[in-house]
Amino acid sequence: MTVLPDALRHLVGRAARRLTWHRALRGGLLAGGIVLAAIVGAALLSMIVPLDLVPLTTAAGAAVAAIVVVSGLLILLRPTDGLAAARLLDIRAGLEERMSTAFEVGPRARHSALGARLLADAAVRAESIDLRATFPWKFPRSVYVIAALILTLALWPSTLRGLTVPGTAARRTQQAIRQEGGRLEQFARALQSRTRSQRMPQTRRVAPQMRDLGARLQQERLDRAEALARIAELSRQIEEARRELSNRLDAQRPGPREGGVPDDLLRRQALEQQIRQLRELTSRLRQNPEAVSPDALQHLGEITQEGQGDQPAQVRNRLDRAREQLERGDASGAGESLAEALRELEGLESMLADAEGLQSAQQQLERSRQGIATGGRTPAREFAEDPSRPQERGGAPGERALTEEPGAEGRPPEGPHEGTTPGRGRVQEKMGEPSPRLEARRTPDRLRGAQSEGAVRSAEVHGAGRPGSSRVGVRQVSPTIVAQADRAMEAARTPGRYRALVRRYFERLARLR
Amino acid sequence: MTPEEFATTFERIRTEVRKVIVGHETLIDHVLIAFVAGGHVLLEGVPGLGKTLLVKTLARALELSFSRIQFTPDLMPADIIGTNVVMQDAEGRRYFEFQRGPVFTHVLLADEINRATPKTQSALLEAMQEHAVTAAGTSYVLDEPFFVLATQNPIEMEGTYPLPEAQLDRFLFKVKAEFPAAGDLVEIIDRTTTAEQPQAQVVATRETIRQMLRLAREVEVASHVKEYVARLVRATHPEDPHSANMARRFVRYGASPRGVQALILSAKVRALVAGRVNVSLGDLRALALPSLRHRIILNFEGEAEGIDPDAVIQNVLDETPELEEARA
Repeated sequence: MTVLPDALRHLVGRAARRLTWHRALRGGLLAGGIVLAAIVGAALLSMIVPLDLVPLTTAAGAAVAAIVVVSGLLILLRPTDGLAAARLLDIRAGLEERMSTAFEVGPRARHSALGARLLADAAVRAESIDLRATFPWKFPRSVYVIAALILTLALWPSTLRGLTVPGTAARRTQQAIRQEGGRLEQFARALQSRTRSQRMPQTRRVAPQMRDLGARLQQERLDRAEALARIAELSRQIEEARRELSNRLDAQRPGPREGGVPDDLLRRQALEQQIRQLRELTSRLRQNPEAVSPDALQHLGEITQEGQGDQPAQVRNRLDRAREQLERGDASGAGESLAEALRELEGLESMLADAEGLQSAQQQLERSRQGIATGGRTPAREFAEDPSRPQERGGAPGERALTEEPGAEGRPPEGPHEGTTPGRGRVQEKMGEPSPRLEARRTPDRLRGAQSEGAVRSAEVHGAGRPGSSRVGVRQVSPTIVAQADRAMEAARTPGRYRALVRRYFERLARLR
Repeated sequence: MTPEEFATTFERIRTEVRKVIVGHETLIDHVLIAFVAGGHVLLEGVPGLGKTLLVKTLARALELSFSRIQFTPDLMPADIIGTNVVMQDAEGRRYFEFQRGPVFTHVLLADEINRATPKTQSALLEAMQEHAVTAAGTSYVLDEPFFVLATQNPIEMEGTYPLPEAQLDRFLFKVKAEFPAAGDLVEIIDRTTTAEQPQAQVVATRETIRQMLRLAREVEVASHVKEYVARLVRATHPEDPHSANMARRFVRYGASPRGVQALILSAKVRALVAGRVNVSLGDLRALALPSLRHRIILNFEGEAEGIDPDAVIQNVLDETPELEEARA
C-alpha cells in the first residue's frame, strides 16, 4: 500500500491522467498523419500508376477516424502509471527526483531513516507545482504535418490532378481517356446528324451532352476516377431516359414483352415495313380513290395481320375501320383512317428509333468506360472504329450504308487500326501482303434473296465465299441469340463494312420470313 | 544527526578549508565529498598547488591525525605499513614489537605515489580497501575515519610507475588540480607572504564525521536513478549494445562496478549537502567525471589520438538518456 501524502498522491494522479491524454493525442495525431501521408503518397503514385485519388472528405474522415481510434486505444490500453508520471514531473518541474523517489519510498517509508523526511519534502514541493505550466497543452509537430497534407490534398485536384509521368501506366491511361473522349465526341456527332433527319427527341437531348463529355475528356486533365464518374453520370441520365421511353413503348405494346433490345429491333423493322406498305397504299388511294381493288383490300389485310404483334390497339382499330370503309367503297375515308394509322405508326417508330439511339449511346459509353477502366488494353479498343474515318459515321445507330464512296466496291475495305499511326493507311500497308483468301478471285455474285420495296443497296464481296444457296431454312430465333450475334459482330475483328453487310443480310432474311 | 546538521557541518568544514586554500572550489568540494563518503582521492596536478596544505587543513579542521609519505623509488612497504622491530624488556628478554608506520593515521597524504615501485604502491591496497594492514601475519585495523589523498605529477613521467588499474579503482575520485587563475595567485601572495597566515579552526570531531558517514548511506535513491547509473557505467564499455560512440572507438575497458558504487555514494553526500535526502540525476552528472575518469582504460587508438577520458565520459553523459522510457 502506498503511504503518500494526499497532496503528493493527487498531484501524481493528475499528472498521470494529463500525460495519458497528451500521449493519446500525440499517438492519434501521428496515426492520422500516417493515414494522410499514405493517401498523399497514393496520390503521388497516381502519377505513375493509374490509382484513383481519394476524395478530400474521405481522406479527412479516415484521418479523423485514425486519430479517434488510436487516441481511444491509447487511453484505454496504455495509461501512464504514477511512477512514470512522477519521474516526468521531476524532470519537467525541476524537482530533482523528489517525487519519484518519494513515490517509490512511500510504501517502506517507515523503515527508512530518511523516508518521512523525504515524503514531507516532496509534499511541500508538490503544493507549489502548477500542472498546467508543467505539462502545457501544446499541439505536436504532427499537427502542422497533417495541416500540410490536408492542404496538399485540397489543392491536388486543381493543381496536380491528372499529371502523369511519361512512359508510365498512368500516362497510358490518360491517353486512353483522351482516345475514348475522341471516340465519344465522334459518336455524338454522328448521333446528332442522325437526330436532324429523324425525330428522336431524347437522343437529340443526349447527343450534345455526350459530345461535350467527349470534348472534356480530351481537353481537361482528368484522372481515371473522374473520367469514369463523368461517364457514369451521363450513362445514368441516359438510362433514366431509356427507362421512361421503354415504359411508354411497353404501354403501346399489344402483347407481353418477350425480349430486350433485339425484340425492339425486330419490332422496329416490322414497323418500318408496315409504314412503307401503308404509305404505298395511302399513296395509291390518294392517286386513284375510285379504284378500290380487291388487291388493295388484300394488301391492307396482310398489313393488319403482319402487325398483330407490333401494332398498338389504336392502330389496329384504324386499320380495321379503313378496311370496312374500303369494303363500303369509301376510299377517301379509308385514306384518312390509313393516314391517321400511319401517323401513329410513325410516332411509334420514332420512339423505337429514339430508344435505339439511346441504347447505342449507352453502349458506346460502356465501351469507353471499359476502355478507360482497363487503361485501353481491352480487345474492344483494338477494333474500335476510328472517329476520323468516314465509315465511322456508319457506326451510328440506324446507319446501314454499305457503300458510300464511289468506286469503293472495287477495293478491299480498310482494316482495323493496326500499326503505329492509328486511323491511317490501308490493310495492305498496315498488315503486309493480303492473305491468300483475300487474294482469291471469284466471279462477283450479288447477294441472293428477295429485295424489299424501296431503295436497296448492296456491295460485291471479293473473297472466297462458298457458292450456292443455303440449305438451312429461315426461321425465327430467340432474341438472346440475336443479341449474342450482335455482340459477336461488334467484337469481331472485322472491318465495319463487312459487319454492316452481314447484318443487312440477316435483317433481310428476317424480313423474308 | 539530521540532514540539516549534515549540511551545516559540511559547509563549516568547507569554509574553514577555504580560509586557507585559495581557489580550487571544485577540487575542495570533491575532496570533501570523497572524505565524507568514506573514499580516497587521487589528485593529479603539478607541484606547488597546495595539495599538502589542503590535506593538513582538512585534518586540522576535523581534529584528525595527519601523515605524509613522499613516495620514492626506494620506498619499501614496511616504510608505509610499519615493521616488527626487536625490543628488549627490563629483564633483558628480546621480543618483536610492531612499529606502526605512517599509514596509521586518519588523513594520509601519499605524495607522488607513482614514483614508488608497484610493490610499495600495492602496500596501500589493503589499507585503502579494508582499512586494515597486515604485518607478519597480524592484521591491524586502522582507526576511522581513514582517508588517503594520493598525488601524482602528470608532467614528469620519467622514472615513474603508473598505478595499476586495480589500485586506481580503489580511489573514489580522481581529481585534477588546475593551475590557479591570476586573481587566485594574488590572493595566495596575500595570504602566504605576510606575518599572519590563516589557520583553520576545529569545526567537527571524529564522532561527527562518523555520523556524517552513516547518514550519507541513508540517503534514498530512486530505482530509475540507479538504473541511470548502471546505464552510464555500461555505456563506457565498448561491447555494450548501448555504449557511447566514443567508448566504442577509444575505450578498451570501461568502468568497473566500483564506479557505480563510487558514483552513488558520492552523489548521496552531494544530495545531503544540497539539502536533499534523495539522489538526483543532477548529482550523478556532476560527479561522473571524478568518479569514472580513472576507471576507463583507453585502447591503442584512444592513446594514439590523445583522447582524454573526460571527453569519453562527457560523450557517455550526452548519449545516455536519463529515463529508460526515453530510449524505448
